[in-house]
Amino acid sequence: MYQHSFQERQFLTARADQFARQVMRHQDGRLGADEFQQFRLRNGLYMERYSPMIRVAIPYGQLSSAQLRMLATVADRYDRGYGHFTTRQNIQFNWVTIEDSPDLLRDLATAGMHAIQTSGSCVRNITTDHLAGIAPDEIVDPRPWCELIRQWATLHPEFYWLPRKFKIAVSGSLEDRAAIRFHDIGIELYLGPRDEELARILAGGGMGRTPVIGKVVQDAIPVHELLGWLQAIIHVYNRYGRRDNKYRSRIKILVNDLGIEAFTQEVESVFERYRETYQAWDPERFDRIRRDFGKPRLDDANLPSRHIPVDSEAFRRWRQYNTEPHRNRDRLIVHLPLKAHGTAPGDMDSDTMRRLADIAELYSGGEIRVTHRQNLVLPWVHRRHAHELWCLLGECGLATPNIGMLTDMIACPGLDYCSLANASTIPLAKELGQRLDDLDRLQNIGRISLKMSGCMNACGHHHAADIGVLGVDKKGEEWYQITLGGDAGNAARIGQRLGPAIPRDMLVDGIVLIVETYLLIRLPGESFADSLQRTGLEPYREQFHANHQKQKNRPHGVAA
Amino acid sequence: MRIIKNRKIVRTEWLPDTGAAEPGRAHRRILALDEWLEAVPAQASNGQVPDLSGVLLEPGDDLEALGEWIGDIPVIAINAENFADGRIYSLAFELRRFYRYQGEIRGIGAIFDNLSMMEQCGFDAFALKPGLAPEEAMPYFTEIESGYPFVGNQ
Repeated sequence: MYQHSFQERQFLTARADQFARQVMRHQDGRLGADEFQQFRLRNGLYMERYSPMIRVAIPYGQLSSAQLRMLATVADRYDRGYGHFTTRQNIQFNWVTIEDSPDLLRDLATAGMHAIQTSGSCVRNITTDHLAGIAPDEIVDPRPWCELIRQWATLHPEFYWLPRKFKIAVSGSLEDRAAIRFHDIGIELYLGPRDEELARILAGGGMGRTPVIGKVVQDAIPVHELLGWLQAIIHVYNRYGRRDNKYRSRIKILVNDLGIEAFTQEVESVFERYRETYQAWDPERFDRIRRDFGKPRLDDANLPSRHIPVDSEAFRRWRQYNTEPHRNRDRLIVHLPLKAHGTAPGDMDSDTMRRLADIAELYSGGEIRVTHRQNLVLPWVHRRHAHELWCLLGECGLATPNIGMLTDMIACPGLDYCSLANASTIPLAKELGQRLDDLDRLQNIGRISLKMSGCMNACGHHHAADIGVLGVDKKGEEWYQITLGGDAGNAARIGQRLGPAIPRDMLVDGIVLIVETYLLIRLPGESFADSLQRTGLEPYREQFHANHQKQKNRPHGVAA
Repeated sequence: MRIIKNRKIVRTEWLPDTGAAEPGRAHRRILALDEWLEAVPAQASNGQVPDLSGVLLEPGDDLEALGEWIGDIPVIAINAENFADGRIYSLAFELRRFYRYQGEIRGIGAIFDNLSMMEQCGFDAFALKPGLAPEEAMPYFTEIESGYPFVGNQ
């Protein structure tokens, strides 16, 4: 794992001290409200519906046991004892105060963590494949590159005030697990014909109210030019991106307005102008970073196996759904769903964090990963510990065998926290979880992604889901727009609308109806996504229509 | 008028053409881009390097407009009142990187908290936002000293 240096912790502490002074100046009137708002945003502090919220970065989704313990400390010391993992490899604490935040940031700094640029119009947390460095299909390990980009983008003096937020994701495997086609910049690392490392750079992807799939700006640049190209792309965006309308100011709008050819030409000309003066490549510095990302020291050879593996159905189910092959044959990748019944997707309490930190230290080289599906991963588990680990995780509520299933749903915080939301995504997720779990038990539905966003900002990534749910406001009431057929991976697709929005009391039934329709028309072994590609949306629309007619014809006064 | 130049408080005789001149003191003019463009061709018509005024750029202005004389402009001021308009930082960056501009780049209306980043982009002079005392500005240049080295700025 990346080892933060003493200088880095010093820097992070200085940054927290700076914020402490800004808070003080704001309180005694020496720093205006507009200025303070911008500075607190760049330290991850939002003013939410009921309380300030702080979003802490988990760069490229990597956590050490020590860092997870620090998150537990922060949850207890400054929040109500829990945190919420987001879809961008961050964690949010929903009940903090402005006054305590500088101390919170100082505490984080001792563990090499921070909330710098987790909000505001600047380069946000760099995200990547949660299986980086362990996936069998990996070609280039993206993590050193993510760390390099993180360092470059942190307090970048030219790009601290972009037209709008800016999200970068990196992938280095055959399967895109980082949704790079839905980011402002997506980077795909691969090997050229002479085994040299190359990068493909896409720009202008994004979710939000106008979902767009990123377009290729450079197809095959040598990796050492990567920062130079990022510099050129973001420079062009910073100069020419719109600033007059917040809904038109993401880079996707600029790319669209100029056209990808003209945009690329502009980027190339800027890159050429930089070439002479811009020393963006320091091989020694990069090698120092790369050295940190080797295999961790694994001290698990002598761990006792206290449990005798039993041939239980529950264990088999967990092995099937929640683990997958590792690039080291004697190791396993173990997924930990944060989607237990009765909790909000992505939530974790401080006790569980501490227990998991201990478990990770024993069984996974002290390393934990955060996925953009609001789950966690133990990346270095030895096969012979699978059964014991399953028991331990079960005791923590982290072994629900539903990874990739319907109940492994994604939801933004919604009306319970967020001041932008139109929809109560969390209660909805709980209600849906119960209904779908029953259905899944009976029918063996298989892999379907279900993602919910409380508003147009699409934090729940609903555009890129098999079943997407978007909360919309209709005259003060919660309504829901369902989309089908989105995909976040290599075959990036934006979901299509099933029909007009439906009211809250019809939503759970509506989703169950979609699943039942799929069960009715699927061919043997056909996944939801494949089935939908074959049939299109028509069968689903027909079912919805028929159901609607049935409801209309029901006599008045009879409850549903 | 007192400004900060190279982290020192100095008096400048280069002043925006907005009545900022103090009576009885010599001053030289910083013109808005359109006025500057009108003045330059007249000055240059005899084929000699003109005695150039300073120019004041707005965030959306384009440096191409300054043409061949850009290197000879003594002061390029950039309106930095809207500190959240990132174009002002890119303008300074372009001036130093693309045009190798050596003269003064002055941020007008700068606030304390941005001084360090502005300096890293190429600003070397600052006329602070009204109400901010230059005497209080110096700590802000160095309040975060050990950041990640800004790759590309060596």
